[in-house]
Amino acid sequence: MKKASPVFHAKYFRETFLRLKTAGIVSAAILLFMVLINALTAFGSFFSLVSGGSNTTLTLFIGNAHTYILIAGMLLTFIAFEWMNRRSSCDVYFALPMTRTQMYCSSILAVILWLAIGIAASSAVFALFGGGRINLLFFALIIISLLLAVLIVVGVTAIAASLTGIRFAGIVTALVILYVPYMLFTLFDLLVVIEANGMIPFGDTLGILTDGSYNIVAGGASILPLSPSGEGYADGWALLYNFAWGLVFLGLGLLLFNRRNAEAAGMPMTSKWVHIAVRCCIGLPPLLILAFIEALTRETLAGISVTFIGFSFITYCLYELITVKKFKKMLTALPWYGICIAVFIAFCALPAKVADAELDRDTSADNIKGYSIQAAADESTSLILPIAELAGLNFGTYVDTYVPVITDLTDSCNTYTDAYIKEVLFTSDEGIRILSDAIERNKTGNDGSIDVVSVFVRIRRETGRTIERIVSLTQQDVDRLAEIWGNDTNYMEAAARIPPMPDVQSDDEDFTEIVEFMLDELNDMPLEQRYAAVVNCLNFYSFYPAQDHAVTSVSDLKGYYDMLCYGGQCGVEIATFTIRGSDGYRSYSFSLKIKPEFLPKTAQRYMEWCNSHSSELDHQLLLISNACKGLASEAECPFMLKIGFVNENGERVDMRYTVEKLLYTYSYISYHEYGPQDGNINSAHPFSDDVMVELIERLSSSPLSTDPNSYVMVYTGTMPPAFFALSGEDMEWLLDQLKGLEVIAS
Amino acid sequence: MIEARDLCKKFSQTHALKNLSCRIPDGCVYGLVGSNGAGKSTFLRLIADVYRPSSGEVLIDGQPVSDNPAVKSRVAFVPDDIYFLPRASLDRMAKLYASVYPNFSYKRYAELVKLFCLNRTSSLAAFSKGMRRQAATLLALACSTDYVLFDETFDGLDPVVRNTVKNLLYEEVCSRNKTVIVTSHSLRELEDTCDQLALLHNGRIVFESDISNLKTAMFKIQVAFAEDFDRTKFEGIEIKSFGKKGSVASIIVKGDRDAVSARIKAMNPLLFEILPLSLEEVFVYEMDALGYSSNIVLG
Repeated sequence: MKKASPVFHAKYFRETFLRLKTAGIVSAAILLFMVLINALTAFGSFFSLVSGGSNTTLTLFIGNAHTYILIAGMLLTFIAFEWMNRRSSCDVYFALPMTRTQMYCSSILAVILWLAIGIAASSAVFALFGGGRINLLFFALIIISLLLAVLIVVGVTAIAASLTGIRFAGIVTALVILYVPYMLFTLFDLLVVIEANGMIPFGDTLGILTDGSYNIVAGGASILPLSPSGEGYADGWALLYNFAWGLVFLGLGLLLFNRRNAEAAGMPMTSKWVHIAVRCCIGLPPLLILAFIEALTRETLAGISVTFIGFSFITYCLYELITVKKFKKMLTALPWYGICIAVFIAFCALPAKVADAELDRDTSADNIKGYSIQAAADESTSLILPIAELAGLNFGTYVDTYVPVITDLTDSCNTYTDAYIKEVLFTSDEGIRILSDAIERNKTGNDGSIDVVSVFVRIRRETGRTIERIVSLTQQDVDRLAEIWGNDTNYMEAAARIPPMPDVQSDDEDFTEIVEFMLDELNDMPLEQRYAAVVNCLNFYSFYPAQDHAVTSVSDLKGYYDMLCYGGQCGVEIATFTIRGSDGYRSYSFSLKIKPEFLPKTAQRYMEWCNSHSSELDHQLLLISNACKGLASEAECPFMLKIGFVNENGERVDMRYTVEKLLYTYSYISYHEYGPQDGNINSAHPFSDDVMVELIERLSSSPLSTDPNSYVMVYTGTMPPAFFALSGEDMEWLLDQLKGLEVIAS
Repeated sequence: MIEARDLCKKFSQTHALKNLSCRIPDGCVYGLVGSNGAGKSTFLRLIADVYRPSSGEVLIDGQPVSDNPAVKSRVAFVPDDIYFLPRASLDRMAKLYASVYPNFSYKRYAELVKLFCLNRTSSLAAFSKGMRRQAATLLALACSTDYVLFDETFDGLDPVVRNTVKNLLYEEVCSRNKTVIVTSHSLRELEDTCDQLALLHNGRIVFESDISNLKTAMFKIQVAFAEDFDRTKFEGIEIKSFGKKGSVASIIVKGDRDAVSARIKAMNPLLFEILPLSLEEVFVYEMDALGYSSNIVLG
């Protein structure tokens, strides 16, 4: 006779699976519907290649799946164990002839199977309709990470179900276990960062406890509305860590289920102490927000304090009243509110102590062996840009809208070179001294007008121990450090690393071919030339004001200039190509602006490609002409002129004119010039419609150009740009017109 | 045989069972009676492994019940508060029991459904209280277990069905050699049904006995003498209750009927009569002796 498994009861598993049928099918169907809608909505944009550069469908898929796991996971698990909340059903289930372990494992497996079916079906739908370009390895890792989230959610819910005797208390307990620890750790770490004047990187104090990728449910869900952490799904250690927690939660659930007493049905909580803990967690959030506000404002605000403490107290009492259902019993819980106050006081006092202790560590130049520049864990545009835009800094508008993108995975901003750059140890005495001095200066509080940018560094001390700091630097420090880094051969080699061509299917083979050509051009260059090209052409998204975030490389610093003055030595690009790929378990992006000065061959190739689409040229010029004629009206006419040539002295000149129509005010050209004039000019000019119309006419009669050293590029953002080779006379006329414009702002 | 050894069950501050020990032999109908809160249902739940004992253990044929599927598969439990899966029909519930009870008999199930005239496909939620109890009873019997535990067996059943259930229980015991344990406040029902009876009070078994012994071991005598007398006249006889109206005393006596009769006759009574007691009266007098009000017990 076949011996029964001590942990699994096949027939009970089947029974539970059938019992969950309705909830399982409905929740999976909702997920499928959401994924299908999102996939089909984004389907069209896959063919256009005119993309913002982010794989939004994958983001939405992960977001939908995460929400599904959280809601359906809790729902199905609670349904599977709902009988524990009623004495009558306990009489039936606990009397069934099987061990508690068999009952628990069979129920859990039934829940997991339903969730796995939902994930598998939605993944298949996504792969069929929305994920034509996804890397299968990464997609598999995403599915694995989702399954790990399933283990955690189901395990935690099983714990909550075993600890509680009523549904409401069960749901609250599950949410508390899932979210409160991560929330507490995150807030504590943030408070330490605030107390340290932003010098200690977020996550440095509590490490993986605050890392979203290591807290796949709490961390993942919290950042998903903006962007999933691409790195999170690619970090093997994080996956193992989450897997371990999943097993711990499921194991703990088993232990508690085995110890569960049938008579606990109908009681809010089986353990008095767990009840107290959950109750306090319910009362804590308003107090923690208050601690955060006080840390930010560095003062105690009486009105706000009373409001938040009152809100916390009411929440605390309300939860107790709902669970125990008796006012008198609720009153007995009041003294325990003191725990909430104690935690609040700890959150007000401890972070400053921790920050002081951390900043007291010796970072004098004599004790520093070297330092490396670190990439922050979650440098995501979608996280930063909304914040920047809220602050009125509309950086996003400068990104060229015609960006052919070979999309591979997610919207990760870690550039390909970040992983290599952060391994470079800088040991020059001068650089160490600059950093050490800056750290000392930062400790006393930063003056934003002096420190212009932050650098995220890992300092290796003579003792061999490392510490991480975000160091705010002055303009002078930045200039000098950039020079020091730029002269370091190890750094140059790391920064000038060129990624391999990712193995992806592109909808437009022309662009794939141009990108391959670009990579070949770079690889054929000697180190110094390649380094100069990468540093000057690397496109990235670090539009961070000083102290809000750290730069991670010379390219960042260049970009910082780009952001600050929109000019300098960066040159004018005629296109931007982005590669997204995977390097083992790491996802990366490598986005390069095609600047004729640094990538002449690729520029020429791209111009040739544009010229091959000249059939659309007349239509485009007509559009621009008509639009310009309408400039006197309220019609908007944003287009761009880019002019590049070598002047009679052999000097290269690059200019960019952005023509915009401001509603109800006036038309203007913002003008940026790069070249020997050392122009960092950002001006606005009243714009003459007649001049523009004549320009279009002159362009119409000019031949197309494939010479990166002499072109006028016209670009509206809706079609490939057109490159014209203006005759000497026409070019002279154009430059005269442009120079003649009156500068009204600069 | 079911054996309880020093069984204790504590709920928060309440001791539901205190060092309860007993042996329930196979092949009998064993009745559990007791006041409200005496621990009858708790005892059944401990046998069914619904509750875990605070201390002590329950054994079936020497094997512990706790978390032991082999033993639990020999026990079916019909609780006082009947539960069925939401929106389930009788057939759906049969499927559930069939999946976990290895000896579940669909043949027996079909016979019992026919006997009780229940609709096996309609929702159990639509059943009346009595019908739900019939459904639970027939499902438990269809599990073909050696032990069937009924808590408040006859609650909600009409007289006809009640008789049917009684006959079924007899049949289970006689022809299938099952052991049936029933609890009930209806002592008359147990009087007709049980072979053995145990009286629980405050978490302990006060006494347990065969029904026939129980009824013969306690009896009522009415006696009168020419001279005045009181309780002391009967020293050496176990008196559970003593009352006197005029010259006639009514005495509830526990002991050997013939020996007591011979002894009183030797006292030359003017009047002497022995009257049998109903089970209910036995129960009431036993509880009175324990200081428990009969009004509450029979309430």
